[in-house]
Amino acid sequence: MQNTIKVQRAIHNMTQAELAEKIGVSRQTINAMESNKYVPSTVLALKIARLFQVPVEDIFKLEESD
Amino acid sequence: MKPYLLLPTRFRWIGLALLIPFAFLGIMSLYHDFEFSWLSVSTPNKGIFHSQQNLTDELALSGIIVGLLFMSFARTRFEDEFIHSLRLKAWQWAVVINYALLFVAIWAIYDEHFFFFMVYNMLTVLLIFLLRFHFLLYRHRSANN
Repeated sequence: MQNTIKVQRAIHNMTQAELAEKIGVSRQTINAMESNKYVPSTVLALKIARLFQVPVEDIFKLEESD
Repeated sequence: MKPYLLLPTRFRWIGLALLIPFAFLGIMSLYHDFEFSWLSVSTPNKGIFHSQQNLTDELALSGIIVGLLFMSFARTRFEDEFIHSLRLKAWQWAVVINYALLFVAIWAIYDEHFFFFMVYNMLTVLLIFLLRFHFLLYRHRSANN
């Protein structure tokens, strides 16, 4: 699964640490998601989408291999 | 996802504080037949219970197990769903490696050596978990900086 968290973060001018604090996870988790090492739970994906005020599909997209 | 079945963070240090003295006691008991005389008890000779028993090794092993369990199940400072996924990966790793070692030992080690191996094998699943989990945490922390 691909995601555009890094792009969204840049649009909202937010650091990894700020995003982490706002959605209640560690900075490692943001880093792992951005480097595609971790697929978040549905709850976390929805929290991120709500924070950036976009539909969840705008941030998370399925790949061919999924 | 809320992490379940975890103890407060301080149990990591409580566990370590239990592990060190009891591990020392365990080694002394296993290799040097060390016993506390005040832990000798007499029980009625029934079934599997011996009439004379010293409880030093029972005490040591219980202390080691409780210490390792506390360390294994203590919450990390920031326990979120990603850390939880690392935790599950580490458990899976520990169980597989533990039984792989046991499988080899069943065929390769005999008699008294097998007994000593089994003493350690009671603890290796927890030890391997702790090593793997902290390695994964370390790797993600250093990849982050």
